[in-house]
Amino acid sequence: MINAIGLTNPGAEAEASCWLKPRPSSGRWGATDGQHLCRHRGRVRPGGPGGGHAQPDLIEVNISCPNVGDEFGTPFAGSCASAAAVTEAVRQAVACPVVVKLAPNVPDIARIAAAVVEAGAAAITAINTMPGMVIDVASGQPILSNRVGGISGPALKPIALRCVYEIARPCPCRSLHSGVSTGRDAAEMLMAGASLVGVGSAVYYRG
Amino acid sequence: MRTEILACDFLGLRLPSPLVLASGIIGTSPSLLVRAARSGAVSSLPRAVAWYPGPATPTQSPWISAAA
Repeated sequence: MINAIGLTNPGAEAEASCWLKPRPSSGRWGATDGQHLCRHRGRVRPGGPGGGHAQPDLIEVNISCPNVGDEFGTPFAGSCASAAAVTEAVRQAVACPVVVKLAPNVPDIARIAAAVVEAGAAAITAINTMPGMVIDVASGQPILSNRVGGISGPALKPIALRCVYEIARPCPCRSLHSGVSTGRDAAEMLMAGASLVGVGSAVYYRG
Repeated sequence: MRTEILACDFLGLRLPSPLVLASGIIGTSPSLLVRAARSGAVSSLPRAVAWYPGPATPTQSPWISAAA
């Protein structure tokens, strides 16, 4: 699959109000976007985005979306220094554990993982989608309105496995990973060193 | 099926299995959004952001049916 949705969401305040409603599950995970947070540090409040009343169990910070360069600039996941800086900013602003989502299209993901762990990340999410493109040969135009998008699903799994393997060896932190469509895929991820297995594109196909 | 054998701990959380919902899941139908909400996972920025105009995913391409 390839997509370029952007970072669509109703805003932290609206999301936080949803968290306060009774839920059938016990876990409350928050995902936010570091590319935006770093430019709005004053709005990241203790307790999590949207105010301390939300109290998520943990926050996943996405610093690696490949589809929002026009809005938010180059992803922070591209270098150790920028990845560590945004990790540190979020860690100081919230009370819960911070998980950082990294990009696959970097020369050495293990070094960047080590940098964000040193900056205070409790765990790593590997990986975000891989930048790609599809062109409609009849028109000669990119299919996606954003021109380029992020590849996920089965095509991403071998890349994700390699990243998991490279991150899990030097990093003592726990990690969770994606690119999984089957139980066998999940087993491979766990064998490569993942602590948890994230399922994304498979939900799209199978509801 | 016995599921208790899959239970695990992660950052102080007791989880029923190591499977979690990945962030960035595409909410293209009400059923997917309901499942995401029930899992407790949400995604947010400090301000509201609309998604890109379509097409945001191919509809007639191997890239949308590779895992179907």
